[in-house]
Amino acid sequence: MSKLLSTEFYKLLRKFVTILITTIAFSVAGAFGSMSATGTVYIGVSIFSCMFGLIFCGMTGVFISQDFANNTMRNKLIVGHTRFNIYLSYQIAFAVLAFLMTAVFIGAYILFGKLFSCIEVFRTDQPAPDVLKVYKENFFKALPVYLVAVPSLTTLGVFISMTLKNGLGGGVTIITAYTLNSLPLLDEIFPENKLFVFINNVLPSSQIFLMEKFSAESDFSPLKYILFSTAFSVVLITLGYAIFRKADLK
Amino acid sequence: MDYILKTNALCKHYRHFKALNGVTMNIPKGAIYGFVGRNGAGKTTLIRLICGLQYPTSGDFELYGVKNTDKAISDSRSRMGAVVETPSIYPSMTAEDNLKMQYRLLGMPSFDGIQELLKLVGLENTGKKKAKNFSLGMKQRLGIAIALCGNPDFLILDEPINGLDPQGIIEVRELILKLNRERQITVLISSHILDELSKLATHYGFIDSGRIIKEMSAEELEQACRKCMHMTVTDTKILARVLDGMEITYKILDEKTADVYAKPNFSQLAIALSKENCEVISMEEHDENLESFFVNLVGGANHE
Repeated sequence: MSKLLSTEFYKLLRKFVTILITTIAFSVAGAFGSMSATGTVYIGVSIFSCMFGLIFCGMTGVFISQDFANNTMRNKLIVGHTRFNIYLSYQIAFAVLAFLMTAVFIGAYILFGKLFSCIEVFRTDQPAPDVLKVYKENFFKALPVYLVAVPSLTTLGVFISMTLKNGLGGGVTIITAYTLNSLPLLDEIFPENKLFVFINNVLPSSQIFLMEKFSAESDFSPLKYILFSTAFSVVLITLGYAIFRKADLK
Repeated sequence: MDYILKTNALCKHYRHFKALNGVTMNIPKGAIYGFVGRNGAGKTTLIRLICGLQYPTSGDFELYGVKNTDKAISDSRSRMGAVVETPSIYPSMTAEDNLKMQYRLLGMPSFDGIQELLKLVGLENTGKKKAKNFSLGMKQRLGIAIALCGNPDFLILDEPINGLDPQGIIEVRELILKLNRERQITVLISSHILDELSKLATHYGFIDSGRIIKEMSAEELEQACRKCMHMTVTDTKILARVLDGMEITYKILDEKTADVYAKPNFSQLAIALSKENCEVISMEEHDENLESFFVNLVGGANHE
């Protein structure tokens, strides 16, 4: 396993600068968006912070499907690595990277939010102090949910690319991630439908999109959403490995 | 005899299509095993099963004496290298970086030996050039270099000369011979370019429609393909006596037929036989190369 992890991390390290710049760019744009909309820094408000998790999901799919497209997946099996270790090494590498980048994203989000708050234009339309207080409280309650939801979304990227086992995995992951974008709308269209409410509670992408609404609820519990994200990850990892374990590779 | 690989009634079915239908073959240690078959005969499927890319529907195989169902098969696989169809390389990396990736996968403690490997396959001067800009032959050689990481003692090469120019074919051939002679690496090489295989192989396995139809050594094949005169006479005992007298090598096939491995003066031979009351019924030249041997073996065009 350590050999596979070393290989995966090395590959990611080669793209690290690009990933870091993208993360910070999203963070700056997110903080800017949040300040524009609310006059304060709030993680769930900006579309950029909502998209960040799905971007990571798509990136995971693209990276892994490249291994299938280049046939470099074969090298791992030929030298005797087990399918379980291969699957898990991908998952660990991308989840760790997503976790670290989410931390960077949040850090930069706060930093740039503070910076933007010093700019005169944002001071003019700041919300009332009580609203600001709620945002501030909710922001810190939402952080752990966000920090778990983004790495959880990488399980979807790993699942799709390892199930398709070809170069299309990246594209299909991106399309799937894009489709997931629309699911939070169900919450608005059918606010009373229990199934849609459940789906949006469970899906990490919806958790991020509906963070502002969820965290404003009086009984908001970060633990509930963290558990849902964890369950989402466990189900996808188990299902993905079960499919990959018996799959014929070319 | 020590065998690196032994397969036992190996089958692989894709729904109703039988890609492999009870393949039993044995690869002796130190051999260059030429795996001969037409496109779609099942060569690559068998290689995929051995490499662990696919699972057999039924049957089993042993790699270094370890069964494929045994957990230790992973350790056995770490002693082999393979290039299956196209080389498995990272196109955006240099040749050296590609080898470093493979060293990481193998958990090698240092990158010592990478330069030696690059030199062995003739890629030591590629510098910063990325693999995607390599020629087909260079990519093929890089694929072989990757397969050679970790000093395997069994190398599987699936159609390694496909698409190569004549110079590339010679380079790959020389490399395989060098690896077998200098490093004692056992090689399984599949190809349908028979002429090229005949310059390399020490053993042959002929596969058709998912079945091994014949396994033989290069000597046996040479014997089978040896140029000779196929003679039918009334009594081969007399023929043998006459040919012994003329110091001509031959092989008696049955009471009436024999192969004569030389070009004797046939008038003299016929007269000598006539004196012994032996008639020559027919004579035909037998000049078979690997290609015609294979075609005869699989039934030629009628087989289609």
